[in-house]
Amino acid sequence: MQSANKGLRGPALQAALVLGGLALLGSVFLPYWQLKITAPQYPKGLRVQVYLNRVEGDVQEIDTLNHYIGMRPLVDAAKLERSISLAGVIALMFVLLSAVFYQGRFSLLLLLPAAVFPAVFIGDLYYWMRDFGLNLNPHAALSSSVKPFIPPLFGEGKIAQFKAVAWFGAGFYLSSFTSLVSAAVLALRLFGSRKSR
Amino acid sequence: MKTNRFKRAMTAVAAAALFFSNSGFVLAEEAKKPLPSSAMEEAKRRGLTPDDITAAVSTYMPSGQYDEYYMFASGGQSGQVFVIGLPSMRLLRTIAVFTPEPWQGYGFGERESATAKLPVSPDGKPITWGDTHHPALSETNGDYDGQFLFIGDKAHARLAVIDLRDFETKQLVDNPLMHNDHGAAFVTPNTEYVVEGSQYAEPLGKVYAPISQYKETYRGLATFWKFDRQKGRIDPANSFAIELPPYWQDLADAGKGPSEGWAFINSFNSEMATGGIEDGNPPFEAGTTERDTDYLHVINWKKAEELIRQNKAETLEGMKLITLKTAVEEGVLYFVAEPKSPHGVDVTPSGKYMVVAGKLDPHVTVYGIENIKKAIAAKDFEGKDDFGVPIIRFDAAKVAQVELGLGPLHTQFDDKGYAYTSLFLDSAVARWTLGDDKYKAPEKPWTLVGKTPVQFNVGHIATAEGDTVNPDGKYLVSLNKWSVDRYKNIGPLLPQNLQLVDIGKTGDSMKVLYDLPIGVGEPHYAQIIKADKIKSWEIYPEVGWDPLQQKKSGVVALEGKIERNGDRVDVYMPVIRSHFDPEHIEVEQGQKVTLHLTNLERTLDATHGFCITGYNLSASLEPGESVTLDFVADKPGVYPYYCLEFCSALHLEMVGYLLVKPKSKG
Repeated sequence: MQSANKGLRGPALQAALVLGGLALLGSVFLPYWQLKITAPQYPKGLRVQVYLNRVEGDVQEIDTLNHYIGMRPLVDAAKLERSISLAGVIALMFVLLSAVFYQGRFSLLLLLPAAVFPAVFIGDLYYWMRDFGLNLNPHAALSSSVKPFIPPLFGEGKIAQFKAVAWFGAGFYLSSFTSLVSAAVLALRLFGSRKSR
Repeated sequence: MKTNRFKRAMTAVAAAALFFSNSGFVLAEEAKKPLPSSAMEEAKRRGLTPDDITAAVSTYMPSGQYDEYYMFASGGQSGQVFVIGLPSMRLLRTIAVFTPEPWQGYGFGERESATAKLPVSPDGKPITWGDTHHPALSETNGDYDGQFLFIGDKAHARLAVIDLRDFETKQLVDNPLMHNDHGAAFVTPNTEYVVEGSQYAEPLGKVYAPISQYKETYRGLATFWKFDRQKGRIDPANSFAIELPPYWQDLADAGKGPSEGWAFINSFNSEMATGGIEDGNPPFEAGTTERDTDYLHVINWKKAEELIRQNKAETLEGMKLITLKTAVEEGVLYFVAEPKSPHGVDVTPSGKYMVVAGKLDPHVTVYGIENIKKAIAAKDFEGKDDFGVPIIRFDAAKVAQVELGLGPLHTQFDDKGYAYTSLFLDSAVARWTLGDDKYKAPEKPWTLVGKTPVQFNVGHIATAEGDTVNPDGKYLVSLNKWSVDRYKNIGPLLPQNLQLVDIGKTGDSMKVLYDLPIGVGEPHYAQIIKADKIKSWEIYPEVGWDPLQQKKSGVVALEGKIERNGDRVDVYMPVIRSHFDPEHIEVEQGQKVTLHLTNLERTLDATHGFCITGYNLSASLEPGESVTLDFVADKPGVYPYYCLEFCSALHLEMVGYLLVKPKSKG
């Protein structure tokens, strides 16, 4: 028991948690999700990069195209989430880092948010994709030819004449690293200590 | 087994190619493979020769591949400039310059446009066409820099500035002293000045004088327009002109290297013939060609610039003018005899020699700048003309004369030591060697190497960067005046014929590769620049761009609104696929309407056009562009306005209504 706990408190895991915290912070500067759509008249394609707090890329052109199918402008999506995302991530980081020093029973609660964060991101993204894709303005010009749809979250899809490819960005993978580290520590603290008991 | 069959097939193809060409004709060096049999069959069916096939594969441009060069060709009486890709000879763009042009919305109600300052004819109406003759690309150290293009209007003595960031005309300047020009435009090696030489002598200042006082009051003119590169504008206040005798000045070129600081203009009608065929006088065509020689004008423009600084110029109609008397006294102007009625005077790449093409003389005459400078210093003159201009002794200035053929007109250069001269009467292009210039040809200096027939009546020629200090060689374009039988007849007005000629190899090897008919106007001269020197914009840098000022406009319509102020109505109208905002404009008859249009698009090629039916208004709104249109709503009625470019699937729906309510009676 003693030795196992000592291992848990060992510098390696602490370092992993610190690293996880830094990775989470760093993920803010990198895109979490990316979409590229191509069509004959857009040989270079159009791209959007979704960051935690903003959307970059060919947003204006995509909005222009989207208005034909009655989709709302991208800026209307996830307004609340984007506005609190920076503060949220910093808070998440501090909560995670506090688990470096506090290893009591409730430290599991400190590890849990970071562990589930990427899943929350995906869930929220999917919610908005669904909301945007299914709630098209029925009066839009192309409402008869483009029916409500859910854009691809990952992989390929087709929207009117566009081929769409979606993939997760470096930011997402950084936060996934944090998530794995947190989950691993959580598991070790939970099951490691139980076993030794 | 499989390999064997493949080998056999390849051998058959190779045999077919050999059979066809007799000479084991192979494609471009990369290939080393025979043409595919389908191509050979097609070539055989069409009766193409190996030379034809070479020409075809040298010029064919697969979809999506880009040309190596841009050629800027004047459009003659179309008043435009044509941009043509080489070697494909595809017309890429027409640039509106002196003539209103609806596609570009040029000259149709735009408040801020180069045409807003069009000169007016004596009846007060704007002049709405031009006769573009000689394009000139801006230069840095004697090399094209790809920033600006200038072109003259022979019919109205105007000069235009085109910015190559967006290929649009930015400025027209009107010569206040003359109605016509010819030697325009030619730039000095760092584009300090854009030179405009006059053609037909007139009383200076656009005034009346009887033709009986031709010698006393009619004059020629060399105008040195100061170019402000920073502003991208000609600066008339710092420009000057030099008064010349009433000979008809023709083409011009600026010296470079050892001849930098000098300008050369040739002339005809040193006889000062005044025509009058109707009175039994010799017609101009006879009177102006009586003497055997005319005068090459040698102008020291650096010295002239100095005189301007020393306030030794007069001012006429707002233009600083160095009088003929001052020019002679201060050593600004000299003459050298040249074979009569020549056309081009062209400075070689080294800047050491000036080549004058005889036109009515089978020779080109080559003058040396060192010879000229020495003769001037030694006062080695053979006399003075009637106006006191010293005439440098011909043999002192001349370096060589090369007999080329009939009707030599204009000369260009390459990177192999050759000069090329168009032969108008022979309908051919001559290749000949320079001596002791920047590049050395394998043949002996100052000799004719070969001639290639062109179809027909060639005027100017252009080689790739052929009038710079670093010509590229490779291609020559022959700008032929007559096409005669080159195309199936399309009525009595025949197209001009621009021919691409391969000049890549030395010796007597020039070959015509491609014919491009131009059915819009008569290109006079062209310049050819390496395409990668031009850094043009794909879309305007910011939304709300004013292309005339090349900066963001003070009025950008981001949201649709209508402001009414007494008789004035200002409409702010953003434009984006696929709607205008607002879509209803209601005004009272007689109200002055200003439309502030802004294209919000940021996507390549998302251009919108705008027109109001019935009001002679047309605008082109490239992505990011702002345009201001003024009109008086003087005709009551209902006028749809709509997008002129097929911008999107909803293009036809991109429309609005101008509703002009009749003025209530009483």
